[in-house]
Amino acid sequence: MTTNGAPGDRGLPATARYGILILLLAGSLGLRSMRCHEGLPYLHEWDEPQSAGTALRILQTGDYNPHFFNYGSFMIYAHTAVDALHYVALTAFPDSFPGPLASLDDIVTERDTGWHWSISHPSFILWNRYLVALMGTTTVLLAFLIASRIGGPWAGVTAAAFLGVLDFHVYHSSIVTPNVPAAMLVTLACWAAFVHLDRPAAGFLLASFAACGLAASTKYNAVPALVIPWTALLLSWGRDRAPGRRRSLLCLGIVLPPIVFLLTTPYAVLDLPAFLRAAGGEVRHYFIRGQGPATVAAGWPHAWHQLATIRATAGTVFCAAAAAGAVALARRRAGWLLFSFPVIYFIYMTRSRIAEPRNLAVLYPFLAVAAGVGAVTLAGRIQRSVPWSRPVRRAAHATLVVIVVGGLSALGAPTLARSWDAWAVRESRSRAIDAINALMAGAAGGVARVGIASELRIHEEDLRRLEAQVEVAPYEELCRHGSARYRLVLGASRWRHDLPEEAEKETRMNAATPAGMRVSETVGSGRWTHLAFPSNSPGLVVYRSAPE
Amino acid sequence: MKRRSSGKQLVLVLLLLVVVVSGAMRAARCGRGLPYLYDWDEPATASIALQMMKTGDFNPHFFHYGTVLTYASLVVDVFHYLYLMGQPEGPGPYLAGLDEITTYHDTGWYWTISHPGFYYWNRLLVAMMGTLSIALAWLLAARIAGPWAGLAAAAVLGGSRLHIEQSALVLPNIPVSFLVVCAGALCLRFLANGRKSYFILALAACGLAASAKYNAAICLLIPMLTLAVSTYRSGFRDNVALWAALPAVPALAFVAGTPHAFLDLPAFLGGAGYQVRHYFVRGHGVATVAPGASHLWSQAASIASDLGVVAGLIALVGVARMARHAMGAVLILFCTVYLGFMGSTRVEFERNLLLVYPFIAIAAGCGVVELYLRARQAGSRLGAGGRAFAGAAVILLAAAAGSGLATSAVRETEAAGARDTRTRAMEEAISVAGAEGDATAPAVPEELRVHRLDLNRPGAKPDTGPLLDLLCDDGTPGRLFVTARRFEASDPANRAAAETLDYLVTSMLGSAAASVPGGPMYLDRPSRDPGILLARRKPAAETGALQCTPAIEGGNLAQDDRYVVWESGVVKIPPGGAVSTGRMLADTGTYVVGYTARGTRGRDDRPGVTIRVIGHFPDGHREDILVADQTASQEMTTRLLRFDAGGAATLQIRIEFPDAERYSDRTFLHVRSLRVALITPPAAPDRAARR
Repeated sequence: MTTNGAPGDRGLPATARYGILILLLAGSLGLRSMRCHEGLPYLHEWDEPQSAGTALRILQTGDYNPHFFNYGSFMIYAHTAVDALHYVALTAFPDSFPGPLASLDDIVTERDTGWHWSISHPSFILWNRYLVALMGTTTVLLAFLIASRIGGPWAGVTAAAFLGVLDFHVYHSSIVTPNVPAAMLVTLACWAAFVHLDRPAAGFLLASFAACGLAASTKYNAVPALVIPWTALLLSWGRDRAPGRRRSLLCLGIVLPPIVFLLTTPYAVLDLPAFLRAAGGEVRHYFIRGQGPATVAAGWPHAWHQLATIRATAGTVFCAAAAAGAVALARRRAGWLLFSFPVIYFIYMTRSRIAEPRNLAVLYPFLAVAAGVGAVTLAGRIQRSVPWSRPVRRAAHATLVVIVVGGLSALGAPTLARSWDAWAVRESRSRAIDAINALMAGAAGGVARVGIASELRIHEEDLRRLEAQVEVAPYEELCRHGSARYRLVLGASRWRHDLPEEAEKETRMNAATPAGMRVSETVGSGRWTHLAFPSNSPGLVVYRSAPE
Repeated sequence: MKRRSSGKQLVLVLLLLVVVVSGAMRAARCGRGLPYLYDWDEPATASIALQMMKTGDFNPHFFHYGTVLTYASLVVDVFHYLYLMGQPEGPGPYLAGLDEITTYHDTGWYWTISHPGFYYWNRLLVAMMGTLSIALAWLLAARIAGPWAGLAAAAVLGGSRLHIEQSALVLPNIPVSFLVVCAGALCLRFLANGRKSYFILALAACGLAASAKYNAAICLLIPMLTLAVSTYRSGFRDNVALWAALPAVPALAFVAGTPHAFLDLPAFLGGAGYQVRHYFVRGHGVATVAPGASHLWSQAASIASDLGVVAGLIALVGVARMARHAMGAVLILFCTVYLGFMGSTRVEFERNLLLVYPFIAIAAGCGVVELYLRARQAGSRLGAGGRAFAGAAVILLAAAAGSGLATSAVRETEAAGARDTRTRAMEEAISVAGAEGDATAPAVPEELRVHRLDLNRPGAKPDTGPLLDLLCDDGTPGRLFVTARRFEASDPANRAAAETLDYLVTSMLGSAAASVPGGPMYLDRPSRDPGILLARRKPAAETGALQCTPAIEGGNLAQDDRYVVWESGVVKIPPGGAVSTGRMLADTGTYVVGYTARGTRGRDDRPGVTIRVIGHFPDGHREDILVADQTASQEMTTRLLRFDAGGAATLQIRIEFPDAERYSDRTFLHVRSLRVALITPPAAPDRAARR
């Protein structure tokens, strides 16, 4: 039994515990690593270049000022370190990676093209995603450790399993955004705070404070995580008899998080106006301006919206187990420590006007822990309290296990399918290039010219694979020339311009087809090809001239 | 035993009450005057912190004080900025971007504050330090002479008028006082338990105090004497490292608090040297005194008038009690040296004495206990009645000493919620306009410097501009004017302008509603609660006619032959260094010449520019009617001149740039308007018609 009142190691031998944990972690990492390949060499997520592109720019210029402060800089520098390693790998083993790199200047990003989602060497993004996936998997481990500490090993296993297969968490663990890293650091702070409650040494409490500073330096709205170490300090206050030590911990608790924040976001001081403009802009963005369709009324409407989103994202079984865990922990010190942050954070975020589900990614590890503890608590109650005969109790127990495993399967099966797709199925634009190659291979005659709409933003890697003479030009220009000039033309099944002032252009492009050609091949899911934003596996059409 | 414990609890409860009341008084006072500033010096800290936040340049470029408070204010400003960014747009305070914050760096008017919330939060920081000083004074006095002495000390300091006033201003006096008391309390702990960390922290507090205000460097005496006592007690052993730390730690703390003393040494020396010369040689206007005994006497009178004569006398008694305690003796010595040092200067500012106020309060606390013990001793010889009488006498004395707290509480409660007369006048103007169904916007002269928050009140969309322009361009009969009852200027060069404004107000405007009483409205310094007049134009029969030339834009100003310098209102420094225009003054009457101009920003654009209005009279003589020297970096608001003339005189307005060679061919001055108005006397009544 731990000091938190956990059942300890009962019911699961250490070997089995570690075996299951390793399996869970391997599975979680596998799901996330497979998902990391999604879309590449194309970027589907709006925000990935904010961190990844900035890290590459730092690598290229040596200017460590990110000039971007909508997030903290910790993950930007972490990605820079990964990029440096990857750069060394690319230059040392040029044959191992697509798109060899002769020098840093070969890397092309937004700075060179003006298109926010430009990335000449997508393997940089892939490695950055691996880093985030690793952090996501670490979060699973931390959820296991916290839940084990509170509710015993089965609680840990259940919590890790829930979080490990949760599609929402898998997705956000495979894109270069700060949500999952921030969640990992907050969970780390929580785990260290729990250890501090059990051990007299102050090191874990200081680690918890430091992790909070890092979390804030990853995403500013993680600042409420500071409530975790402060709650731990409060809960362990009476234990420490030495007033000098308590005073030192108080002082360090005040000083350490800002120091860690400033060490990892140093330009918050060195370029104070830029930092304040961006941080203030985020405050205004979240609390005043809102963000298009994600805008909601602050307060209860926002809270209900987010709760509904959590239920839809995590599923009924997960939410029910988490609710049971919350009830079970409400009167325990461990519960106060575990829920101190989620409660404050939820209230804080729902006071804003933007209901982006990803902003609550930081809560899912806590919900997973609560779900693990809840499931185990229910099992224990059934075993202890129900005045039925043993077979009935066993049946009830088995039913609960079936429900939990069923819930996990319901969460995990689609996650696995999506991760497999992301790894095995290539993006529609890459498949379109394959289709064009196949069409060209079967065609008679000499070298044919292929027209590709520049608005599709086909990646250089794909263009290099084309076994034909390629001309990339605006779609309307391709339509004008038609079969007189091109044997094949690659366009979109639906164009979409998201800026209101370009609506006319959208209509014009959707009405146009290359003169003298007929529709031959359709590739992709049929989604829009955005003209101003990144497109996610857009539907494409290969126009082919009539056979002679 | 039980009685002693309950007495201690009573003291703690009373102390808590004193600290809470003192803190509340200080916090309540922080909003005083806002959005208007009353104190000359606040922008020297608060606006510099805002400028740092806007530019990222952490060099204050101002070293008349150290920069600890500036950086502390900067940290507070960052949080307030984020708070304002989260506020919705509306009549209340909010921010949509960093660049919306304006200070004197943007306008040239030293007391500009676009978002007074920044000052309010900065003042709260100082108020917090002031309140903590009270708690520390209690701690020190309680250690020296017992808990009742601590309580009395806290009450005396908590009720000090000067301490309350200065705790609600962004000035370094209270932070310095707080840091010095901190150093004292830490040294006391060091003497009590010998822990070196307390001593090091005390040294750091002294360094930071000097970094808040240079003259606080004397407080290094406290740890030095404490260490001497400690060394003596330990038989001259064990303290070698601490003696080495004595100069090193304060120096490091000073540089940490004022890093640009090192990074921008010439500017630092310029600022610090200026202060030395200011205090010891030049003096400061009406605050100049002869150094020495007269200054010391003046200081004593100032302290007695603030803390009360009774508290002062009790403090003198308490000195004897303090002297018996090692730390008490150290503090007495420090106060003596500090008062002696300040007495050797030529500038007498009451606020400079705040550094010793906590220690005087501690002495008063010790004095109360000493008197009580003496009285009990004396009373014991006189029997029970004598004891009771002696006890009652001491309690009465203690109550008199601590009565400042109650007096201040009453004063501050009465003043709580008081708003500047300009704020009240704008509310009054809106209600008057509303009651009369007046759809015309009220006219508010720029010279009144009404804040944007008051101008943007719901229901008020006033026209603002120089008073002369508002009068000249006013085509709406019966329009409400919100103006000052009396204009004043500190600088003799601006007095003509103030008198002219007064002339315009009295000759052209008549009271329309109950005016808001108050003091003068200064043109060149912050004004506290100026008297405001809600007025309307007098009928022409009473005032005579007001003929105004159209506002002369810079671009169409006539030039001397040699100078081609006007470009759409912006004056570039001409090769010869002057530009002028002439106007014929054919009619007889009172002429008012007004211009509104603004110098360009920039630290090096500081040569004087002279505005000269010259009259050329028909008899051939020439007279300089107005010669006003301006500094280009200052805002040049309306300059006004009134003179009686007529009969084909010519008025020449000439702008001269004495240092033109250095600044040639640079945009220098933006002239917004320049006009001449003639007020002719009302027509004499027709005698024949009257008959």
